Amino acid sequence: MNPTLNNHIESSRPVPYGIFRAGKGLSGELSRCLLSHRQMILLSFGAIFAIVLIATLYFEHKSLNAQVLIGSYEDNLEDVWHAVKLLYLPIISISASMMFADLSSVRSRVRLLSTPVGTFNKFAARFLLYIVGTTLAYWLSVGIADLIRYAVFSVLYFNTPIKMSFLARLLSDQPELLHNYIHHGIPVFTFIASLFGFGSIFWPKSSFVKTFCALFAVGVVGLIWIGILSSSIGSKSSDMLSFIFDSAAMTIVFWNSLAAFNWFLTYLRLKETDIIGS
Amino acid sequence: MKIKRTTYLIAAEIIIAFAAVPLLLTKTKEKEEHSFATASVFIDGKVEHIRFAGSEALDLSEIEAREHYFRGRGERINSIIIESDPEADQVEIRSTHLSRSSVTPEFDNGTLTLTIAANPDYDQSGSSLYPKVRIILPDSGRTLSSIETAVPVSRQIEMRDLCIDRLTVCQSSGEIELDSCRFSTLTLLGNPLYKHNDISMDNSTVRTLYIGPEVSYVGITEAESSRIDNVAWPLNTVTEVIPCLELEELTCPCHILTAPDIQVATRSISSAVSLETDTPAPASDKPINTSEK
Repeated sequence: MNPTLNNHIESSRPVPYGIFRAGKGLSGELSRCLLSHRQMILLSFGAIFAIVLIATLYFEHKSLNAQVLIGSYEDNLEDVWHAVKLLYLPIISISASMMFADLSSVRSRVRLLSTPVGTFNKFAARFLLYIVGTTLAYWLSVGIADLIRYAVFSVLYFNTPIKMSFLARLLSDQPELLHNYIHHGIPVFTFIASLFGFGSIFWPKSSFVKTFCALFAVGVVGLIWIGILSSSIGSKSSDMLSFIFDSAAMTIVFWNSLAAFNWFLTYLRLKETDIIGS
Repeated sequence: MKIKRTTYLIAAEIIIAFAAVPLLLTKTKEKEEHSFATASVFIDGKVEHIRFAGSEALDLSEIEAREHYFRGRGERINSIIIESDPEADQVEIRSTHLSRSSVTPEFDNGTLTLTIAANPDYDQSGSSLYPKVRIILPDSGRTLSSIETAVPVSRQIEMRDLCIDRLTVCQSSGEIELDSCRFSTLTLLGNPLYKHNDISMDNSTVRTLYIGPEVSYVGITEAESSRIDNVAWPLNTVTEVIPCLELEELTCPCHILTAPDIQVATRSISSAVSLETDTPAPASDKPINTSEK
């Protein structure tokens, strides 16, 4: 048999139902997403890198300036860590709120919903791209920015020994900061990202602003509610937070469960989305 | 417009979150009540230094000094010095100004002196600048040798299950809450800015309550199962204001010490209190006179 024809028959043969077929659908959808949004994705990752680089260079410059002025080197490890940690929150929130921006215009909405791929694959492809991909890109940017910082300041301040990789130093010098972030920071950030992810399908247009406003409103009402109850029960609301946050296991389970529920809702919402109507 | 199922679900999530708040608050309260297992000193406010006097010095001023910097508000605790005996129960210090710092010094036999001083650089007229102090010790048998608040720092002091030789409070606009505490001497030195003192006592015993010359009012409440053996204050040479002492529901006998340098309150004292003037009597002596409500 002609080998070309044979290959054609092989490729057109239905993939057996199961994980391989799902994987093929997912990779196809992922490729489609990457291709259709490549400009936006490149711009976003460029912006992430620029922000991280500026923050890293700023803190190193500040630290070295202090050394020149007052003669003592103030380690900026913690400042950089806090900045890197906190920058991740707006970036992942904005990224999550772009997950279902396709639904905002009629043409892209029709394209998204009529693509012959399962809903789960559509959801998973966007989750991988906007959440996992952004997270990886962010930490990659942090690593590269750190290397650039080292290179730039080694040249500018050649008399001063510039400290290498802050992430490695963080692990060796202050691992508790990293543990704290894993136990408390990541679960909370995952939860917040899930809220913005749901917001992106709930309000495809201007999703970030609308979700932010909604969360702000719910937060204000929640604080008033907590204030009223804490005064009537006689417990302190600040202690309530510490009750949640003191236990690492509880924190992880609590926030991740809520995040998983929100992602499940997002998936359900995508399933019930029609071409007509919002 | 048809409301989708997920809209109901997200609304349900928010409602459940709101409904869970009372449960969490109740759990928090339970936890707070069980926190007798560790001795805790909570400092919320601007404190220049905290000193625990004991045998072994643990100087935290150099340890994680950056932790003392409360970033958002540009406030700093200049130093925390803890000197304590290493063989004692735990004392945990937590402060909003220490962010994650949690110090666990140890001391033995309860011999511990705590001195809290406010930072004089701060405006003392702002009540929010004063720290709140809460001290909880695990068992009632423990004794602190003394606690002194040197300048108006202690807007609110809460104590539970403490046995303290001397507590000297140099301020007093705030509320002092005593729960199952025993004091040999409780001194309210007062402050020109704040002359009122409210002491909430529950199941507590004060052997001698000294009232300083700047104090013009002392209100004692929730004292049904409490006891004050002696109340004393020196001649008021500064303001000539006679302290006003109100003892509500104090069923136990209360004795007013009288000595050449002690002036007796003549008003606002409940009929349960007996007065006897011009009789020198040291604070540790047996009460001169007793009357029951």
